[in-house]
Amino acid sequence: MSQQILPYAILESARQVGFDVETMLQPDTPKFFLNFNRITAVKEVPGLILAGRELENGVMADVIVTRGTKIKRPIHLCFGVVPEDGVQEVVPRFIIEDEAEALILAHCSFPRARNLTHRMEAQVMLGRDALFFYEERHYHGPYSGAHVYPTFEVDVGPGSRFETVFSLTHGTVGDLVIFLDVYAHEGAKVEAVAKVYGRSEKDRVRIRDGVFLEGRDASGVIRLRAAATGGGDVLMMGITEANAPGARGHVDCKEIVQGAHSTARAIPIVRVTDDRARVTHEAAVGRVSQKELDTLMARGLTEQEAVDMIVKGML
Amino acid sequence: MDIRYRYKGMPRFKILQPWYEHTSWEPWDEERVSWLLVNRNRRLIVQALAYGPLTLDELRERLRISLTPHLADRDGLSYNVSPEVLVNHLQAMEHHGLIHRQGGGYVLNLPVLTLADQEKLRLLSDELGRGLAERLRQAGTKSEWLDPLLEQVTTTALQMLDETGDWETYRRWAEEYDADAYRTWAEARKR
Repeated sequence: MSQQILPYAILESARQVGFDVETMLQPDTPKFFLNFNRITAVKEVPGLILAGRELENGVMADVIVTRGTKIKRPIHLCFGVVPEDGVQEVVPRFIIEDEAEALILAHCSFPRARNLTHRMEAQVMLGRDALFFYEERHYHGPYSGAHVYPTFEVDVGPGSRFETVFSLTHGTVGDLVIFLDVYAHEGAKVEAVAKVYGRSEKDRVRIRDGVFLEGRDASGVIRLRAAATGGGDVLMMGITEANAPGARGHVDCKEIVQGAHSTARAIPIVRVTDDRARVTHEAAVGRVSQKELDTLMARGLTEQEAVDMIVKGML
Repeated sequence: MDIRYRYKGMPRFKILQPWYEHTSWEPWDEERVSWLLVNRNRRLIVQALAYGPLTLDELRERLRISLTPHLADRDGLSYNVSPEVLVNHLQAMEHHGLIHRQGGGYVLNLPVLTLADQEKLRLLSDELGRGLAERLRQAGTKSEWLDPLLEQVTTTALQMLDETGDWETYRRWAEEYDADAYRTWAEARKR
């Protein structure tokens, strides 16, 4: 049955990045699965609207959690492409209405990508006093052949909370350019986390997360974690802008750089246009601690294995 | 109405990003694009003022952010920008020369290319292009001269316009907005 819903290669990569595939595939699990440009599974639950339309190269979709609905089980989204090349475009809108709650686990899998482009333009809006957790895990295969360009524009309504985690820590990266803008309204809370591991000279990462505190007492935290090894090139920029009284924000960038020609750059930017607001930042880029390396190598790991373990620990 | 940002590569998509460029390695460029245009709400203010001056109350009315479903038959959500935040944005934009106050309203200093302007521009450029192509054919221009020749023609045209009238050839659209260059231009206008 699982073969009919999604190809084995995509399910296997979901397992590899830590998802519980059996749960994903259960008939009563809320889900929206896309295999290239074919919607292969949709399961709604009371209060959850999932509407999709197949496009030539992908899909447009609505994910709506209706007013007051609290969905306890994670909603699984999967956007996969098995062929080595092509273009996939995904245009979703997420609307989490007043006092609604939802957790989305999204899996983007391109396990054989050699010259494959994936673009996403996501728009998200939370109503009042809503709670939305969105986690996206990617797998781009072993060839550094994926070109992945997602953009997100998010509005977090008064008193609502939005948390997002992006991770790409297994396999190669290829080209990755992420553009996230979050606008926090009055009393809203935002946490944006990105974790990426670039392993080869073909891996290029550009992540630009922006949190704009546009309402009284809004707060936001950006955490960017990355590693560049084997010639990988990572640039992460976290922008927090406080434009309202009582707004509080923090940007935290940590990156590891290891090996010749690897480059890691971190740019935290903080801006405040209201003298009753406060934003802080911290950034650190450096190689793996030699002491930690020696300790792991003394226990039988090669240098590469030891670096891998330390990086994964940070991510 | 539209602001033409440097946004390439995804004509299907609708979100306007000021400098999201897939084909280069740098999707942002703080040196070239002012931080003032990073924030969507300030971009919306620029859009709202593109057709003329607006008062604070009028701006508050126009700055409504909404999201409706693509497909589902259901109302979406919407918000107005908070008044105190709007005032902060306007103060920052005024301080950095993007707008100025006039009477009871705010006026944009930055020229904005609207979709209507864009169509007029297309007709004009078609006409100019056809004429230029015909002249180049008649003159038997060598193909390797073409790039430097076009650059030279453009420079000459801009110089002649500057010399012969009140043309502001350094005028930029939002897509080419450059904070330093704009400030220089704004200062020159003040003088």
